[in-house]
Amino acid sequence: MNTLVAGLDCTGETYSVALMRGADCLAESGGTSARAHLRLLFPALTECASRAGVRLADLDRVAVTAGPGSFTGLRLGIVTARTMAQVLGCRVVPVDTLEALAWNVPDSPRVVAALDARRGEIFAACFETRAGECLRLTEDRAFTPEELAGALESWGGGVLVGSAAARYGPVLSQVPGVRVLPPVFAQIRGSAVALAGRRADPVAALDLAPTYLRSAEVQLHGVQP
Amino acid sequence: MSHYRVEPYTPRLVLGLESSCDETSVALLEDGRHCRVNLVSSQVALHEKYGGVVPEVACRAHMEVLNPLLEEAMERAGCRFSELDAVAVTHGPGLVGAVLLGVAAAKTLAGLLEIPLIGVNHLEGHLYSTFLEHPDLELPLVCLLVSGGHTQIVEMTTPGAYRVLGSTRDDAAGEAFDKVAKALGLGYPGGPRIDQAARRGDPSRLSLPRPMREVGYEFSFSGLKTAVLVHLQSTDRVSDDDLCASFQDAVVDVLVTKTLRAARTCGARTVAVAGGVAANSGLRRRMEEACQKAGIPLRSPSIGLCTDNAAMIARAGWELARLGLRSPLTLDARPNLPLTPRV
Ligand SMILES: [Zn+2]
Repeated sequence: MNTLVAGLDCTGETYSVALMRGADCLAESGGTSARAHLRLLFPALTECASRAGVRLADLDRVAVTAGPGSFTGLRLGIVTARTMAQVLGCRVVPVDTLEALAWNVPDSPRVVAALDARRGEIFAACFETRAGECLRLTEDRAFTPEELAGALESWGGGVLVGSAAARYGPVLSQVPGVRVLPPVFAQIRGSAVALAGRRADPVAALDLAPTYLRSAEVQLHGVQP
Repeated sequence: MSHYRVEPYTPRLVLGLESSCDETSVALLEDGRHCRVNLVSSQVALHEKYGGVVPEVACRAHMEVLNPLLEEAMERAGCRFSELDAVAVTHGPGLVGAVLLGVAAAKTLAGLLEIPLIGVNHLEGHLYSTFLEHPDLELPLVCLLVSGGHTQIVEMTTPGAYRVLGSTRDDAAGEAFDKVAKALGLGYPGGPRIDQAARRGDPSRLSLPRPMREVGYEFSFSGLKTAVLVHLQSTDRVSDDDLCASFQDAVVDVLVTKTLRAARTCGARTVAVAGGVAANSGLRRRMEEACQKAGIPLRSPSIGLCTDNAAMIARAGWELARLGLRSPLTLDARPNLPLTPRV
């Protein structure tokens, strides 16, 4: 497995890109401004390539977080990945944002990856992580904080990670068995996206599509046909 | 920073990308004049039920069609990515979430192919759209840029030397068309519908204000729009066709009068009208008559090149390359990018 994989994430307040050869991270780069990732996503990738001494032209596949996440960020990542695949003729793999986030917590029987989706909503899913693996236990879903507290209780607690942990941590940490990780663990890493995308099935560049999770009607609120 | 200076260069094959409002477009331009392909995917039908462009709807549509359109453009032109010499892309003004998708694709292409990236101002693209069919037109050029998003008169003395003589203080002309059409229940987009109704109507039936017709080069259409809305409430209403004809006549009168005054003052050798409203038949006819009378040739793009398209972006990019301009891979989307001279 000496494939060269690029991992991209720009679905949230941070962005990160990485180049992986097999399980080795050759270079990783990113930042924390949602505004900057519009400008810096692709340059970060070329910077990684030159630091790692590889050519982007040699990429075997591009893995990108395809949602849920900020609509603008999702589309930016997808267009970038699609264009890379078109030019390089390489494979492209959509990675679930919550799964990429769960990779931040290794070796845990229950990781609850949770993103603050604003408007009082949380996108969350439950995973089990073992050495180099991340198994999905529940599907992605939108929760209210109360619903997620109830779900956490029924799951018997878990390690809560992601932007929702910072916002709703004080409430959710009241649930027995829940441990809330600090914000530093909430940044999705390009290397995790690449790792998750290494095993997943690739799709044709033009079939890569975002998972908005929230309906268009919500976003178009106030603009009635 | 959106551009840096390099030795002037002349790219042979330029890929153009446009995604600033409600059309996604990809074009391939050879030697600055031969348009090998200019594909435009319009979202008008998507926005029709909302009566205007809805940003989230626009961004979703751009994302869906951009890459397939790129694929189709390369295929139709029988061209490989490795043959491209530069990528030109609209980086503003426009809907920020839409502009950045074109910019993201352009950066990726330019970075992977190791060819120049050239950020183009959308209005600059409209200015150069005239050159696609009239490569030898004489400068100085005075161009009326008129669409749903902008209304301005721009002078170009040499390539890259632009001067905005005047813009609109409130509504763009196309916006006024849309709002009046909406009030009359004619639907969206308003321009073509009003144009159609106006052909059946009598423009002299209703006397409407010609805002700022005699002063300067700035425009203001909101007062005119209000006058139409006020008339709609009155008891002695003229027919809708006559109303459309009178409204269109007033807008066209202001646009033509100011453009011709600018052309005479600047000593223009050419006059052009570009942008979506340039498709308006009343405007085309009146501008043609006025230019003929003034003895200045009118060189407007054909209708397909008046509305937003990537061929004009590629043409502008080709011109910027010859001026020695190039954009870094950190190029940003600029929703309010002003038109500023390049030289
Ligand atoms: Zn335009």
